[in-house]
Amino acid sequence: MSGLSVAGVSHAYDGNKVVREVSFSVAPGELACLLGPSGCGKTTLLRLAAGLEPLQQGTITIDGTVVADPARGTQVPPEGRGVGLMFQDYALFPHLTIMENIAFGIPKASPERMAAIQDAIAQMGMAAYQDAYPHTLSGGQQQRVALLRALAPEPRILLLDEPFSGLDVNLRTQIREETLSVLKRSGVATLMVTHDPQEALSMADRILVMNRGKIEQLGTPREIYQFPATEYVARFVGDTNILPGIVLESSYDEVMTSIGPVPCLSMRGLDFGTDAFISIRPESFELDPKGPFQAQIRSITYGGQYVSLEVELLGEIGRGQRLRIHTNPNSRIDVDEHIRFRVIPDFVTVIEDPAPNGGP
Amino acid sequence: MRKILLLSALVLVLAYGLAGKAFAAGEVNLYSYRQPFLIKPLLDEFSKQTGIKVNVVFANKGMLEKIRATPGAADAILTSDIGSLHDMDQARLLLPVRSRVLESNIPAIYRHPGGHWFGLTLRGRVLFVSKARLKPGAVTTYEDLADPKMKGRVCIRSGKHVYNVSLIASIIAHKGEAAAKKWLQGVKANLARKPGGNDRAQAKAIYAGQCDVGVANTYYMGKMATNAKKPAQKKWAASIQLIFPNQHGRGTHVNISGAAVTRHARNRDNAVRLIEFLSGDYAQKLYAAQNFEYPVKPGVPVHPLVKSWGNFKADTIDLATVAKYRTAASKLVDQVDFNNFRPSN
Amino acid sequence: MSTIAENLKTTMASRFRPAFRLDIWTGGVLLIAILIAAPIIAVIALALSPSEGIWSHLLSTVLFRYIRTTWGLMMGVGAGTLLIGVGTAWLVTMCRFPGRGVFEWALLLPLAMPAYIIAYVYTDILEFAGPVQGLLRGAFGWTTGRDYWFPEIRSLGGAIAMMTLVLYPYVYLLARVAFLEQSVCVTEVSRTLGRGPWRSFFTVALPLARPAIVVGLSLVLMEALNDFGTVDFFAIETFTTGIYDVWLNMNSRSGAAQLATVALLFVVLLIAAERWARRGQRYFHTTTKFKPLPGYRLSPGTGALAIAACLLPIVLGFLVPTGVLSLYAWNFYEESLSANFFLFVRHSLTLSAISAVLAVAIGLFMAYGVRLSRNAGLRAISQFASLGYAVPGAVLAVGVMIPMGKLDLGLQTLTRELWGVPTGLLLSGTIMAVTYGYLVRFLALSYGTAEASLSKVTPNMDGAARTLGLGPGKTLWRVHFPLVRGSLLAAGVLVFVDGMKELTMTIILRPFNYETLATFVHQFASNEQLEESALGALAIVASGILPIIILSASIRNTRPGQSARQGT
Repeated sequence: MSGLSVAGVSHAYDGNKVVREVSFSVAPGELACLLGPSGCGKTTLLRLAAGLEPLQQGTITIDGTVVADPARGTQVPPEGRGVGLMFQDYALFPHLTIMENIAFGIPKASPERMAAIQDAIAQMGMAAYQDAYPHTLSGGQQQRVALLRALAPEPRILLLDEPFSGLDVNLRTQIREETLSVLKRSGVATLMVTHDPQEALSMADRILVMNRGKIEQLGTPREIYQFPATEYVARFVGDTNILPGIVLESSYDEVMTSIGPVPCLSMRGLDFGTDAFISIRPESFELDPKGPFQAQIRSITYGGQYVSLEVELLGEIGRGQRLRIHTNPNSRIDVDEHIRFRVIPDFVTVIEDPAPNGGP
Repeated sequence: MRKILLLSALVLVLAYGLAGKAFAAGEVNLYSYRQPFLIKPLLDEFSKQTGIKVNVVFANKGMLEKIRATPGAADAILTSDIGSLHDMDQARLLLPVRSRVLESNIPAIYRHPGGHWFGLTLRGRVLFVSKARLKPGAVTTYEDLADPKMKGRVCIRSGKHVYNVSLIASIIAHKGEAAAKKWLQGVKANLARKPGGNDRAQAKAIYAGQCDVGVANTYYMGKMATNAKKPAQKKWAASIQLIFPNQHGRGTHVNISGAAVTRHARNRDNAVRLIEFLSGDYAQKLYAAQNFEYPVKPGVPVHPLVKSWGNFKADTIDLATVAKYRTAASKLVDQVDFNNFRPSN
Repeated sequence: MSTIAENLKTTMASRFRPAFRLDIWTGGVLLIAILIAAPIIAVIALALSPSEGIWSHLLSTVLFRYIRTTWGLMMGVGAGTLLIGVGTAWLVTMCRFPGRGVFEWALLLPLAMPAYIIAYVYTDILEFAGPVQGLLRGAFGWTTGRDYWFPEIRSLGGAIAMMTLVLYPYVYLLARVAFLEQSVCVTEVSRTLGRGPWRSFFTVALPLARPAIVVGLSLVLMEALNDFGTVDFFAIETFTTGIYDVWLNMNSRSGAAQLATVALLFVVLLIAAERWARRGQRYFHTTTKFKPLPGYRLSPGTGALAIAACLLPIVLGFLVPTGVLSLYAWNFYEESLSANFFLFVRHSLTLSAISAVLAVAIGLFMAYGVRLSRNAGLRAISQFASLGYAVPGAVLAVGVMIPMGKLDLGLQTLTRELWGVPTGLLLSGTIMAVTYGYLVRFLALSYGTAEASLSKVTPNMDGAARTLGLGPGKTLWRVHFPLVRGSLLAAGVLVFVDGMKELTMTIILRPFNYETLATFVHQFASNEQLEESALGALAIVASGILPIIILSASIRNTRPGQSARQGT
């Protein structure tokens, strides 16, 4: 198959296992995102794919060719893999001009190819800087050069290591969009590493959430956000409320929880009567004077796009339980006020048992 | 990168490998402990007379190891004292040579009985005495240097220098280690300054008034007294009386400069011819005239200046015996802490 | 249970992880390291044979004095070079005062002065019979040494002074590079926190520059440890004079090799301590924000002091000895010129240039190979191979001859078998031997520099180049080499200048009829007739001046943000 395919990969540094039995693949034109906190092994996976780290266990295939398989002694060096890699610090060559940096990977480029690259440079607004040296550029400009450089040799797969972490927040959105359009145009299979859920959700076609060297969940941004499979994923990709409960009849689409019955879209096929936990995103609550839940507001945080409330339940079931609720920023409410609300099922899901010490 | 490295290595091998071929006929390869500027006129004359080219490298240490590591590289050795000849002989690196010429030119006491090495010139280890501050006859023996009356008046180079080590070894050979140690302690007690400099520097110190008596090899006197380029040295020489010590006893300690053929020499005959030449009339005269040394060959005249110092009685003890005691002598210097003298005032 | 099994699997995996692959780089580094280390191993092997009671003699007599004197020498030279080197480096880098531009490079000049020559010159001037004491006696009517006190030049203090004067440039050089590389921001932070320039220097700039200064200092200490010319001339009993004494006067090669091995162990400890002390210092240049250095403008009074502080080491370490040498050379130029003087100059230049180029190429190759393999064993072997700097020259020369002689005999047998012609002593009979010796001795300079400057290139540069399709060799050539070019040039200059001065190994290892400037000077100097060869000594010094100025210019460009502009 074409694109990047990683199967059964494990890796250890000095006896410290950082990647455990990881398998996934990225198709051409797809942008897959490895999401996780620092130290979860995502950068190691990237370096393994690039060939910068010798593979210890598993196989890595690029466009149908096995490039690393320690069991058969295959270790294609990075220069033979046809991968593009963009580093977090960009790693621009300080002794070369922008043009020399970009053309570094294509020493014998045809005139047409060079013209295409010139075009790409111009499209990114970098034409004026061709003969400048990297240290004279701003962070955003350096990022563009690094991307152009990685793409210039037309790699089969592109690896991006935290490509936007060095940028100002204002600039980040713009550059993300810019990058995305460049990637889509090139049709390359892209694997991006990030610790920023927002970035992963907004850019990726598919997200691989990693925890302690393992892939915890794999899915589209929507799946990951709406239906996190574990408490770890639920908490890492945004705010959530985790409650214990019991699965009711599947036809009911409801879970009985410590705060009473809650509508739920995803039962994960659990049988009636199974003990479970559910994750309710703060967006899944709606203020409703006729809603079944009554609570008192304990604190209010203004967040711009929404207002985040911490409330304490007043009803008979689950009295004292605290919940996080996001509401419309226009709602005029104050601390200690009593409110009523209901749960809409869009952002409610049954998750696997929370790990004893999991979650942020 | 790699190509450049390989290429430069190749070029080196070719360029210098060819330049280094020194094994053609008509050559002799010489390791010399004596400075090239001292021996060059002799070697030039040898080449002129015989057509044999002399390749020479001068070094004052490490030659024994070099001969051992690359046997056959050198054919002959030229040394400036008995010690290095003896060490090489002990290491079985020398070739026994039988030559009528050498045996008739060199008296038996100045060559190895089995022909392992041959002395070429003699130098006495004598006393330089201040004419102004010491009466004639005040110092006449090595033993006088240790006499308490000389306190603060003696200058000498490092006790570890080969010339001094040989002198001390000769005292051990004659009088035993205990006596030699006592003598060395006595000399140390009489020093005017920390041992150091070369033999010439002792003369300079006497002239400047730092001390009154020094120990030096004979030829230095000749070189200073005739030094046209450095008139100051003539003054140093003029302020000094040269005394041959122990004339009423065992005689003045003499050392040789000598030569030998190496065991694995490739140009043996040429090497023997070179040594024969160096022991012959022409070379012996030149040694005497230019370097103020005493020729080993009987009948060859010494330099008039050297002659003016008078005849002297040389210590006739077997030089190999003296050389044998060099290790003991060197250890004695450590034991009495000779070089570590500090003036008491 | 399962965790134990998993742990076991992990440790197994990690044991296999270094994945020692014998590619051209690893194999090349291993081969070169073994070649370069062979002489050191030969010395150690020599030390393994018995040495008939040498140690009991040394223990009961001079050993502790050797240790005490050597320790004193190293401490004295260390303190002296630190004071002069760091002090002047800070002055010319951070302060603005008249003449600073000249001092920048002039402070490096004493590097070209061989220690044995400066010792000779100062002895001539300062001894009892010399002009200074003569004038004093004339002026005050003293006659003997008992009438007055004057420091004895032929003493430990004298040796410390002589070596300090010619060795401080190592510390100056590295301290200056370190100060130039520092971001001004850290100093400014310190100033805003209420610390004056002086306290900022001691609490921020100096600790930051420490790793570099320590590297310079360790070079100085190794030089002081293995110096023979000066200490022998002054009759000071150090470990090195002891080695020669045991070897030549007590005729015990194994005893000498044992002493040398002990000294080597001491150096290994020293280096280990140094590595340990800078274990945390693995930072790369990432910031691109470098402002011009502040340049404290000094008041006329302080400026005058600064000028004096910079001028003194130049005058004493360079101008005075060069002046005296010129005087000698003027009077005795015939003796020098009459010989094949220009041939000697050519020999010296050829040897030093070849060695400098080879040392830098090999040092870079090894440092890069170690970086590629990331193998601790390979790194250790390479570091061992660069220990030659710490072994006294003549001992190392003996170590060089042993493997070289063996190789020669093998080659000879081979060519005789193959073509029926013996090649002669292809290696030990040619300048290959000297070049090899120089490499063994000076690899510490080039390997150390290459390793240090490569460590400043972030590994992401390697990654970027490799993923852009370049193999390791091309990556080295197109990325690393341009980035570390300045430092390599500096290392090359150091090896070149050291090669011009090198004497002991040249004497022993050179082929027949091969005279360099240093050996030419030596044949007279060994007879205390330096005057006759002063022109040669002057030529050694002169040939170092131009490279030193180039060196100084290349250091200026080491300041980040400045070097990046080169190469359009």
